[in-house]
Amino acid sequence: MAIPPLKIAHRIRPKSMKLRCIQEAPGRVEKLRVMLGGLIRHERIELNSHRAAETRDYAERLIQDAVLYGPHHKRSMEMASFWLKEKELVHKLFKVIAPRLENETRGFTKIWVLADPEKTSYEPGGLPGVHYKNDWVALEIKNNPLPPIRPNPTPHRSLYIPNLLLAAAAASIA
Amino acid sequence: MNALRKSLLSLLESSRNTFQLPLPIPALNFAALAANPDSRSQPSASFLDDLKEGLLRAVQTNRRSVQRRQWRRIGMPQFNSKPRRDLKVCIACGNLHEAHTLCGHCYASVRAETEVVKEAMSKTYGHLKPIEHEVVVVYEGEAKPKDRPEKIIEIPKKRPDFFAKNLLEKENVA
Ligand SMILES: [Zn+2]
Repeated sequence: MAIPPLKIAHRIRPKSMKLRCIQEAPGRVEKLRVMLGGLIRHERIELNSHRAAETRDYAERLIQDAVLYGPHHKRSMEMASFWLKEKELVHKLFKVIAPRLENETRGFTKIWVLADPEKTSYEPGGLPGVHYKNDWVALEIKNNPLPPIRPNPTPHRSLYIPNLLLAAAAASIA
Repeated sequence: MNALRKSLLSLLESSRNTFQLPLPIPALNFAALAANPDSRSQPSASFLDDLKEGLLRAVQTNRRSVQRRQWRRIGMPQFNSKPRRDLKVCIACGNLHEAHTLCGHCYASVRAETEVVKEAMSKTYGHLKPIEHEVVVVYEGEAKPKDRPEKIIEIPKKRPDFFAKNLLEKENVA
């Protein structure tokens, strides 16, 4: 049976995930399981861009199988119970996330590139925090209950106040 | 042509040796010597004397101070500091951010609120219990949804502005 393609344009050739594990392939799988568990549990995680891209592919595959085939499909259930170590997350995948994203057509996850923070930001005591450069993203599942990352979408240019005033002035002159 | 010239020259040399032709007269250079009364420019008996005098090349004689070096390295605007063309003004708060990233100032507040909701969510779901229902975030002074399967997360403070869908109205007012 042919496996349906993913809804996102995913990178086929993986880059280094900057892992510190000694065992190359098993450590990679283990880290992917940890990150997938975090994503399904918290619905939004922050990580570096390579790990995010790698995790995103697996998450898309899991959610798509859950949406298409449901919990009674043998292969989907095997995949889910392999990649999600905590069994309550398998329940969440099939009972919460798959019904929520049934009608999604453009991918089930989203990646936001974060700005480089200042050294003291995110720290209430003003202590120096992590400093990362151009490699820190937020990976989230769509339609989550968390506060939206971009609450106010950018309005059209014609709705900016200077443009409204200019348009009114032009109309009054003409 | 070069080969012909070389052969002619060598022929001349050999003829000079054989016929004892007179050498070029050094008296012709006396005028130049009078204009430049330098010991080094006088013809010496052996080339070893020239070597003893030593060769003078153009070298730096004074040490450049550290301050001067740093100034030359980083202080020249035409070489090092270039204007940024990839900065945008945030629509919501007015801070600058890079074009491909989120506004760091806005994201800091979203992230702080997300941490609160995440913690409340993990408490609501509990540990090692199957997760079967969505969650709804309810802030202080908001009505709770009734007769619905969602789990309710109560957060004991007012809803922040950026979390509301419509900025002119309060959500779920009791
Ligand atoms: Zn902003």
